[in-house]
Amino acid sequence: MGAFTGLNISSSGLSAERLRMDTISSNIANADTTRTETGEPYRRKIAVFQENLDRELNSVTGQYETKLKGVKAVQIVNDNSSLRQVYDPSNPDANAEGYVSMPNVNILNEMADLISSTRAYEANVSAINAQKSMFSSALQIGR
Amino acid sequence: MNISGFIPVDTLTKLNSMTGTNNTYKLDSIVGNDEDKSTNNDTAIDFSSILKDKLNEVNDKQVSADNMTNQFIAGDDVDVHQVMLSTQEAQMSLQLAVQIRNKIVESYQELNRMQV
Repeated sequence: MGAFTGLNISSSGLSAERLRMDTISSNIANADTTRTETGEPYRRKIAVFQENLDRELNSVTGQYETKLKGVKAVQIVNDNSSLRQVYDPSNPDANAEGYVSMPNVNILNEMADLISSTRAYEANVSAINAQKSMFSSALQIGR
Repeated sequence: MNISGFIPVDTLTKLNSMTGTNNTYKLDSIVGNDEDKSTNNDTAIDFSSILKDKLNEVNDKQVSADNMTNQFIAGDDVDVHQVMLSTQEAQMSLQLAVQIRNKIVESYQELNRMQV
């Protein structure tokens, strides 16, 4: 374990939460978007994360051992739940019956995700500060 | 009184191997007098070159923190927490280096005060 391994792990957590925040921002910004490149309405985006492990050869024991490297973003997937149907005949994207397919974004859910993402980011910062104070108190040894 | 009774023997041999086989500190690498490096570079790793290497690593951290900050200011794809973390790493490395230096100076002064 290097001196800054923990910092790098927490850094990956911070990056992951930034990405989650980006997807949530995109969902909120496109909450009423009825047109995308594929022609159908915007679909809610979800960031998928995976634990980041690395196998390394230990130079002393000669055994492979797993190293913790934090978290990594694997992909951003679409939420394929059903789209909202809103009756609005004046909308240019309305179908023959006057219904418009609206994105499956629920603003309230997005706000809750926003809060949890912010808190998770703060938790990672707290972990970093704890590691830093641990390092500082190690430097106090023998003072 | 026998001093080697206090200190385990392998500690002494490690110290000797770190400071060179003839137990003298070599200042060649600091002064830049490298011509006899080729003759005695088999196992002798002198104290000053270790110190210099480690100080260079600390300096590298400072430089990379500087580069990261410049990239962030220039608008490159660098997150703000990466900038903060690299400066933190640089700061922590420097604190460690200062503490090591304090220990070295302390032990030097201890030796200097020794009654002969």
